[in-house]
Amino acid sequence: MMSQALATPAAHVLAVDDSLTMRELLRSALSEAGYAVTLASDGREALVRLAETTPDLIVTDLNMPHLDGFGLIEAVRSGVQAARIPILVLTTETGAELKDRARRMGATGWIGKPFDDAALVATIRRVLPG
Amino acid sequence: MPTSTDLRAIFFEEADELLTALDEGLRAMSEGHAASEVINAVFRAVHSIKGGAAAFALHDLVAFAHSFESLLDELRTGTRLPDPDCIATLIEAADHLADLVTCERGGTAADPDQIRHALDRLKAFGQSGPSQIRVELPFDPVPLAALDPLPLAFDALPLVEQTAPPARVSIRFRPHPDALRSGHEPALILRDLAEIGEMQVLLDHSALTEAAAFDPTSSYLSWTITLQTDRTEAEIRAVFDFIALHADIDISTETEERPAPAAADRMPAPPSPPPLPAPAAPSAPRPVTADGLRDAAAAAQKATLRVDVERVDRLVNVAGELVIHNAMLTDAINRRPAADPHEVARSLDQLRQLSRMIQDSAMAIRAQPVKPLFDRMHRILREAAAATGKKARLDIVGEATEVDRTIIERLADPLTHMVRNAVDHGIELPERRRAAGKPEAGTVRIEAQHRSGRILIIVSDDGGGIDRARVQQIATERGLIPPTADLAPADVDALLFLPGFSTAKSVSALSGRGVGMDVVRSAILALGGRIGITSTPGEGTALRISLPLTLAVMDGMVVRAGGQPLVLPLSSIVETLSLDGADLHALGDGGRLVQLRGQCLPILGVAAALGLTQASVRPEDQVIIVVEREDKSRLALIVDGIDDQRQIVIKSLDENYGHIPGIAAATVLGDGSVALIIDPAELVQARSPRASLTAFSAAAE
Amino acid sequence: MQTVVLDPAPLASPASAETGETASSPIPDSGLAEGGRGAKPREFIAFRAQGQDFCIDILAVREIRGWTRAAALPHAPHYVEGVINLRGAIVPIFDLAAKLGLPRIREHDRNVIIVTVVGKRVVGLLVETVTDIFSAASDAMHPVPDLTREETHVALSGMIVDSDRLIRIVDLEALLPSQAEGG
Repeated sequence: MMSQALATPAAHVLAVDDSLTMRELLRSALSEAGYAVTLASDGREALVRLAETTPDLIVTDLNMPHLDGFGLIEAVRSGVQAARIPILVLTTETGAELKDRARRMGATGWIGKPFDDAALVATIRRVLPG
Repeated sequence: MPTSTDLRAIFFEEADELLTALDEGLRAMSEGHAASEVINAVFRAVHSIKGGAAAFALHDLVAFAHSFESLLDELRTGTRLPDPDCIATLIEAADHLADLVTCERGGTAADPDQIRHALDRLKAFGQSGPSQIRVELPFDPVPLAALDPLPLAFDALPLVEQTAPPARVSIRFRPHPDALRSGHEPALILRDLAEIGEMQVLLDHSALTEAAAFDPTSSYLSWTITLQTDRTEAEIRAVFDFIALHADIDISTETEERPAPAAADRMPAPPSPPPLPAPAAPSAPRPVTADGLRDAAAAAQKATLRVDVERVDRLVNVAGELVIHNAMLTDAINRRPAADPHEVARSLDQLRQLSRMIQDSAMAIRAQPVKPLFDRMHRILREAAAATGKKARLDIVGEATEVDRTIIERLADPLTHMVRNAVDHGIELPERRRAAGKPEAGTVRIEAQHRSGRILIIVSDDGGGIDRARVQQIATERGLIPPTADLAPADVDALLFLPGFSTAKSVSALSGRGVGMDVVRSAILALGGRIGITSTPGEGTALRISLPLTLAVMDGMVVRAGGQPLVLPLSSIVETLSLDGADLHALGDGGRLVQLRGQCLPILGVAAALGLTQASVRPEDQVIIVVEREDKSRLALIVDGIDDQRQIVIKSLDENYGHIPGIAAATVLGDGSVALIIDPAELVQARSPRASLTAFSAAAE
Repeated sequence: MQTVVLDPAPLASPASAETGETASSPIPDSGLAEGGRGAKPREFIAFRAQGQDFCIDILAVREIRGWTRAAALPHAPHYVEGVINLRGAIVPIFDLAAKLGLPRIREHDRNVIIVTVVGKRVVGLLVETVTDIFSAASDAMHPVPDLTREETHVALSGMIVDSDRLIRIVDLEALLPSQAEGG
């Protein structure tokens, strides 16, 4: 697969989405590209994962139960450990306002939904050193 | 690694769950619970279906979910109130969404007229609203184009036509102090710029403060970059789009005649759309090819199972133990001198226990709660009530009860029919209910519970009960019973299950789908289940279904009759006794009874009842097996002998052949031969379908 | 709840996994099979029952196996031999001759069972012997004359005249008792 050449070896991505389908799509695309993947189904679970491990990147949906993407960004940016970690938010074409709000709160970039595997990996590479 | 067909299967699996959540949420809203978390959950359900559908390029689904979502968004933002009209529209939309999911799953195209109609209704409602949040262009019928990130349009044209001469671009790039806190890394931006042209960089570190005041999470540096590139300004700007809110970026082109203004016009200000990684791999949805469709259709056939990881782990653990134990046993058997036979026997015993544990664990994997199935009945009830002009609500009890997945799947049709029936024939019209002093809305209740190794499902209503005079009249007209028949109330009720009872007259627009209660009954029987009906005039009717927890394995007694092995379910056997010396009495013409502890039980020869050739076995060698049926009535079966008592694996006969009255299924014995599994309750009816109705309820007393 | 997604097929009994398998090829190669490749003709497998030649479309054949004693089925039509265990699946066996109104095929070790797939069902045909595989173009097929008995007429979809042989094409669909009750 072409994307393997692009991958940062063993870079660790925390992917957060309340949709099982999206989680599995992310898992599939990311692991195919050689990333280590941790999944969380909402912001709250993501914070639990963040307490256990420090990923190199967070990819998160915005609209989620319990703790949404904005809450997650806020929590991450106000912490110390993961404060500088790049965060990419998943948005759709109608979500321009949401996207800007997320960026103002500290999101590093965004990934348009639906994404294609190569675009996802290329976007990650824009914000992930290595 | 999951393939795209696996992912697709996951999507449909999840879509089902989301549709259930959607239904639940809308139901709560219709009951007046319009808390923001309820609306949010409903919105998320539709949103997630749309997201997944877009990933698999399911256009119809995306288009409809999008319109649906827009309406929900108005509720969410408070620009529209969830009044009854609105909720009715949403419920209708949810039903249509479910239909679309079903179509996409089956790979069949939804009726375009219906889609348009549903979309129109949704949009008409959206426009009729008191206010709208955004005035959008009418929704694009090919929504995925709209979902494409904007730059596609940019790249497609300029890249081909503009082989512009390399221009010198000067860029001033100064990240704001907070840029690093948003996870930006200026070095990466420089790297990306280097990839699109020849670059010279000048670092300005004048802003760096003394070490004491230095904050490592703040940004102090700025760069002046000179880039020799043939890219448009828009493309260059795209490199900065992520950081645009957190940096000052000035771009100026130094060429004379470059058509830069045009580009600048197109890309007026940040935030600009994301750049594309490569023209060859646009972030458009995967193209749909004929092959893709075929794959999708194939995938639609493939079911997946979502299982609690713990259950899988348990199975894997036991399987591991089995391997170890197997090695130990082999060792014990091969040992020289031979191991103590007791040791081997003990070891074999453990092996049997392990097998049982594996089997239980494997069954647990297939076990699923009945909730999704039961929840689907809300819609059935709603539609049935609407079609008949009745008011009804659904009560669900024991939705967490787990049962084998196959049973759940095959219960869907009978349950649907029973719920429809309860509304159509059970619940009375509102006026009549009022006159009877009942609430206008009737209640249909579905209840599931575990009882002694089986699952019990009760579908009851608080309607008028069975009109027995009418039932008897219909049965007489159809020639199902003689006009003079004097039937007990329970026997009249049982007539409903007779094939051919379901009449044209009793069939309304709703239940008129060619399904009678006899079909429900055979579906339940085919699952190894039983069904019974009770009814109280004026108070309602209850159907009780008892089902095995699994279809795969059961304890059975292997017997011989008619020269071949047969299996009786152990759960139905009360006791066995030798025919020789039993207290037998002749009854009428060829009938026989056995008297056992004060009870008189009718006797039935299994071989004769099944129409098998009688083997020449001396009567004194034959065995009586007393079996008990669901309704507690007992029956003495005569077989030629008992061979074994063991666990048997149940194999379907229906799959390749069809249902045989009196036979529940088949199994394969140790020698590879087939043995049929007897269904004691049906055995009686197989012999004389009509007489059995009364003969045995009398005998049971 | 942490969950995993499983494909239930491997969890099901080997029998059902077996049923999902596409036609394997334990069919004897008579050498004639190469006959009409590329052209339109269909390939048939020919067999004999009670002295008459029959055939079925080879695409419907899953395997051919030796005679196995079948367990009798209660209340079954006279041409139903019973059911056998085919690697865990319960497969009904039909006596083709009996179905056509001929005497039943006598139990014999040399009889064979042609396992076929009809719709979603797997069923076995009890025949005396499989003779060959041949191909025939559609213009070589003739309708069954009206003079034949009703039973014969119903169970045959046509006839093929192949040099000196008259081969009857069996209509597998018609052969099966309708799945009226149950599943």
